[in-house]
Amino acid sequence: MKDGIKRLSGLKNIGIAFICCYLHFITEVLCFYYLTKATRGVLNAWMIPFVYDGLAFVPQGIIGYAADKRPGLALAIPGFMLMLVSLSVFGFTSVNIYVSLILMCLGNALVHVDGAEATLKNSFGKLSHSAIFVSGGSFGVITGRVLALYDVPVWFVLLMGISAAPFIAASFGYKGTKVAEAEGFDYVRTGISPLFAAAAAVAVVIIRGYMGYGIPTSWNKTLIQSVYMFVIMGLGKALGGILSDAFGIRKVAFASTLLAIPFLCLGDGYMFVSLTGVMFFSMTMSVTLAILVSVMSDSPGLAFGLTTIGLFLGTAPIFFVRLARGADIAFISVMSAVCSLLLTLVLKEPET
Amino acid sequence: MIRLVFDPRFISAHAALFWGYLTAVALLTAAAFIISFRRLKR
Repeated sequence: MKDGIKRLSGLKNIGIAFICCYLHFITEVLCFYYLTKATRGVLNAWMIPFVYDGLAFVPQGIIGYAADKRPGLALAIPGFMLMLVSLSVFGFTSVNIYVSLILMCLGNALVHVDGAEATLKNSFGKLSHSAIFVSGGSFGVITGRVLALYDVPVWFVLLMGISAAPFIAASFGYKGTKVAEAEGFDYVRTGISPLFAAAAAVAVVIIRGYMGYGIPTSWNKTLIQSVYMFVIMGLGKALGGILSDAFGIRKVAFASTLLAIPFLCLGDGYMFVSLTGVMFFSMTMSVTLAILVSVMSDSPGLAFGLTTIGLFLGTAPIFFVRLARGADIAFISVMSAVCSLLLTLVLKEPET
Repeated sequence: MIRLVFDPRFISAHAALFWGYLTAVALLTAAAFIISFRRLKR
């Protein structure tokens, strides 16, 4: 325990994690305020989030690759500008919804890649930075939804978006943002093929993406319960990285995926049991990213993009098919065990 | 065991848009996977 705390106190550049966490939070506030407003009372509303998932998540691979080639590009600036323009077009004009949707998706993708590059390149191989950055998104998703459900006016949300400006400026102060490589990531066992490691990481992301929506949560009926769910998801994502840095990535990956099984399976009617499972399973987020960066350290943006593509592949089926009760529990149990096996097989503890 | 949760008539009515979108997403995904395969450490 003492050693773990000592390791955490030695984290360098942790400030960039909180800067990017806020930028991610505001990004999701803008996006989910927009999505909640855009889908309210619309027939076949599922098409809007389905297009959003594809156009926000999938291009991050190519954008990440481009950002790796040209380090130092401040993608958050055009990203936020696109999102603010999108929200203004949506809020103050009657232009076709898909115009503002595409602008919002592209802005979202640019900010995500920018945050991932900044945190991975400044973390010296530690996971806490990217984990804290990603956790901001969950808080943003639910905040955006709440603001939309309470009919907060568009101008107020635009002001929240503008509040990102000083944080973008602050991120320029971190040297690593301008280098090409994410140094220090060495979490894949010797002898494991990089292709297998990358495929395993993407497979775990796909499963996590599916489970994020597919887990049985009949307890989740009120807004406050949704708030709990997203807060716990965010905390789980951050804790996954922080605990990995403190106690070891392999231990955390193994324990979190296995411990999640009983809580997720038995938590359908019990909120706190289910939330505990959600928290455990969310912990794998930074672990999968660390695997991908370990085998692609000269392309951290592309590595991050692969995780977002995996998320799209995992969430896309939810729009079309659902597993029957019972089958979903069996599916969760088997898939969590598969994830645990894959991660334990691929991961090694870094040399300290 | 598996149940559909969408209206197939909606997709039929917007077939060009729907399949165009899915094709674009599939191409972007394939491009990212191919580039990643080439960037993996040997």
